[in-house]
Amino acid sequence: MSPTRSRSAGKRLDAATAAHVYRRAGFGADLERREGATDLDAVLADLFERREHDALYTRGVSALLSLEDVERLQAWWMSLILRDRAPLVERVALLWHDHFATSNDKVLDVRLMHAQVQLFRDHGLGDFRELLHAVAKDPAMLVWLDGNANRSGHPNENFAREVLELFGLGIGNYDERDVQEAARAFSGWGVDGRRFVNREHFHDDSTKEVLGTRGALDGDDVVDLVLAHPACARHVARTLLAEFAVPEPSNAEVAEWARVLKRVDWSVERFLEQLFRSDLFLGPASRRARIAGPVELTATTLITLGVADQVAPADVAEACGEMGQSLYRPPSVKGWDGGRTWVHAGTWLARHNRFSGLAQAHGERVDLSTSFGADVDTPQLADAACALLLPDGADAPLREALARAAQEAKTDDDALRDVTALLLTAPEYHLI
Amino acid sequence: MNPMLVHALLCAAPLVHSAPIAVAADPAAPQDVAALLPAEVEVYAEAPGLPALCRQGLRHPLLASVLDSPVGDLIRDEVGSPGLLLVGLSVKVGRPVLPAIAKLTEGGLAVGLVPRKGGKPLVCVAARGDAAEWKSVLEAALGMVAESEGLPPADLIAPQRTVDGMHVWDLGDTLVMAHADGLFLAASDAATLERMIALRGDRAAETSLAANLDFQRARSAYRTDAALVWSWLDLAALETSADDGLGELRAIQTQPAAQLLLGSTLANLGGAQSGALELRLGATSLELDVVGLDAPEGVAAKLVAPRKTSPPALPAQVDGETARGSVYRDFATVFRERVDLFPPGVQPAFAEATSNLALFFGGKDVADDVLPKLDPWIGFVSRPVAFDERAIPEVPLPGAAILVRTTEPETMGPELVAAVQSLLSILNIEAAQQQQPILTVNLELHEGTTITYGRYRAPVQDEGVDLRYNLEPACAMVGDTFVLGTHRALVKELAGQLARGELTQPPRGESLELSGAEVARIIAANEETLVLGAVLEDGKSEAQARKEIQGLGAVAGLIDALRLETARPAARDLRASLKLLIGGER
Repeated sequence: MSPTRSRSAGKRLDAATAAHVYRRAGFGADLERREGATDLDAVLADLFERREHDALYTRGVSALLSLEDVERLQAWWMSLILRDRAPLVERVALLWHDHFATSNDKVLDVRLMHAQVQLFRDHGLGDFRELLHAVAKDPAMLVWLDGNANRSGHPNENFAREVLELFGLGIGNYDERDVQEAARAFSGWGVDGRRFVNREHFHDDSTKEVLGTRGALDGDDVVDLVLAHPACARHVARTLLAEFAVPEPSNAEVAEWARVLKRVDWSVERFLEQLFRSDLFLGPASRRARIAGPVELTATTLITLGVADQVAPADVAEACGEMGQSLYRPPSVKGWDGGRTWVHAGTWLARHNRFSGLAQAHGERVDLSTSFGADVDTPQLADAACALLLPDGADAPLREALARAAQEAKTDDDALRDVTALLLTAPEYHLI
Repeated sequence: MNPMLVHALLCAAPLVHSAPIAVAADPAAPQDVAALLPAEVEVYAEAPGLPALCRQGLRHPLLASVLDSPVGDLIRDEVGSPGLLLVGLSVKVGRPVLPAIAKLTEGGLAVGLVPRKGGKPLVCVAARGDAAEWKSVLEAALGMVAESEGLPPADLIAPQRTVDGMHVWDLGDTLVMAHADGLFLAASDAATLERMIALRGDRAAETSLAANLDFQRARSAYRTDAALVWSWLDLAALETSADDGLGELRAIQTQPAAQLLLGSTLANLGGAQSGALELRLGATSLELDVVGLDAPEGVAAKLVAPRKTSPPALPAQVDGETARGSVYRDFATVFRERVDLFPPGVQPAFAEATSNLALFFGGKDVADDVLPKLDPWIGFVSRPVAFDERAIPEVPLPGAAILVRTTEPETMGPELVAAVQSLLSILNIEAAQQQQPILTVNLELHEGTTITYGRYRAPVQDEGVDLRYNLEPACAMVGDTFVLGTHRALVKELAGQLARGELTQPPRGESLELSGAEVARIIAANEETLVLGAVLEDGKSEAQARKEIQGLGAVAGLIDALRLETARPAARDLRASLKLLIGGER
């Protein structure tokens, strides 16, 4: 069976599949949106067409940035995610923030960090080739990977290495000499104030050989050579598949989807449109297939429960940091390692405390009374909670534990909170 | 509900606004209501101005000007028209509520409280007023209680017993009350109420709060005729009976940071033997006095401004000024007598501070060679700043400056300027290490005064102007006064005023004055940022956040000025006075 085989238009969706689409392509959907999601075309249209944020956030961000405080910027991004006005745009921005990982801990300029993520927002769904060229000239990236220090006669290899290894090709598709030669090609690219500058007097204009091509190459030439390399489309396709479909796609799947990427002229949006209709994405291999990152899990939980507007985005961003994902501050140029590394003793404790705290109202009190439906009474609570939060199915012991918790609670409100807390802290809930 | 009564109340409603202030008739037995509270009371409050205020009602000039302002609109939006609310309340209780309160308390109202750690506090109330009004109100209230409990009204209205001629009602475990001839007594237990009844007519009783010498002194010295509410707190007793928070408040005096930031008067208030509070409502002002009586010797005596000194003159006030003030910070004594004044745990911080400050003064011992030459009075001025056109911050804040006199201007002047230059150099080194923008250090001659200032390179157009552009640190020495400010323009302005002798004498003690209009202007100028901040930090909706920020701006705009003054009215008494000037002249 071809991994790119697609469902036909107008395909009716079951509840679990609808939940899966919203969870992976966005940050979940509340009960009302989910109940209306019976048609794949309509769901995808909903996800692809919502792209406008509230005016307050766009017109207010410049003054917010002037305060030079990364925590405020983290809260701002979290509020964009939680308000759910542009779910796919923010999903993709988060993906590229991890892929082109850049940290304010070194950049030390929230305006540059914001501009970079805005680049991901504006072009993340567009032509990947344009995105890679733009990232190569992005001031935050140039500060992060020492562009200013890359000068003729004293090449700095940091950016050249990452554009080959992490951003464009992956290990095994270049050698050390390619890195050295590419670094010379990027020499002279730097930042003046907050703008990209090409300081020609620092550029090494002698002949270089990168990925088998010789010439007086510059940075743009190297980016083009990376994009032209057969491994590039595979590398990008693998990144997109790992994020949106299966965490470890097979080489055959990668090769086939790399061909799709080229066929859609490197358009991330058109690639995703096709992916979201594919059996690979909609089938069982992609369901609850990887451990969710803190941002996607927290945002998905709050949006799904319909309580995202009841919490302070600053607190949510802080909680995600405690769980190991501090926005604008990935731990290294490799981004967050993800997978099993999301969950170790410290971060699991943080997840447990934060999610049970959310349900049990240890922190800000959120109103869960309509999260599972307005007319759900206590005996139906366990089933309703599983239908909303684990629509792919919960195993019997968990269902029994939830039913027992509902039964043993002293009040209906206790039952609601106990069941929610138990479900949110169940290991299977942390798979996405 | 009786429609005739409703009609009568609606007709009477305007009288709430327009009734002339009647002189309270003195009841037949004007025993001080405080004398009816037991001696163990640790928190006391009385409301001598309440009857007059109730007779004026919403016609009180201050309340009227608040209700006529945008704040009044906010109140009406939020809770409804105060006049209609009063009418509604009057209908509910069956009588015009404010005149009734005036009648009930015209002979005095006193409330006493004794906290008990881990238990319910003892509460007692004494009030004296019109006998017929009290009888009628009690009957109505008891009738309503009976109705709510499904009892025949007569069961509750009839007194359950009589003690020394007073009718007594026991209403459950927490309220016992008595009434006779317009005197109303209530307590949270029967034994206390009976002791209160026994105090009736015994003006010399030692078991009465009125016999407490600290209470007597506080009341005679610090209660004025204009008091709306006056309160007394036995802080020494509360330290053992109240929760731990008070203990922490009393310990503030031993913290150097609190002494330096709050000033010795505020830092030592909580450590006093007892405290008095008075709230006054004037035609154009709201005033609160907080007095600490018998503050501890030692820290207070050494660091509070001496009674006979006054702060030096400040540059004259200009239109649109944000804030000004004079504070007394005797750093020389703090450092010289640190071992006696502060606990051992904070001594290393002094050593570290001495060492760090030496960096700015060429290695000198700051405690011995610098601080003794500086006047403890420090002036403070804050004004809006005219920013360089290319560097107007996106969040513009007013500039601020401090003014300090020195006894040796010829030697200390250059030392202080050099210290600022050293500070800028050190800041630059730290900024350079983080590849952050650095300040260039410049000199400018202005009206014969050399201004030293640091500035960031002008921001590049369209790249945003950050908060840091609020900072253009500057200093100048004018005569014997050293001026240090956040912005060159402000320091130049102040230096010019000092040089020209355009001065104003501040109030006698420590003082701080804040312009509400300027605060309102700052809030309005930064409304979008404040709204977004509230949405992000507090999780509020945009509408709710905007309403609150605009409400805050309206409140600030209503206040002509906020004044905080401290004084030392007696050798060991400290006073902090907060005054809000509203809708009138400054």
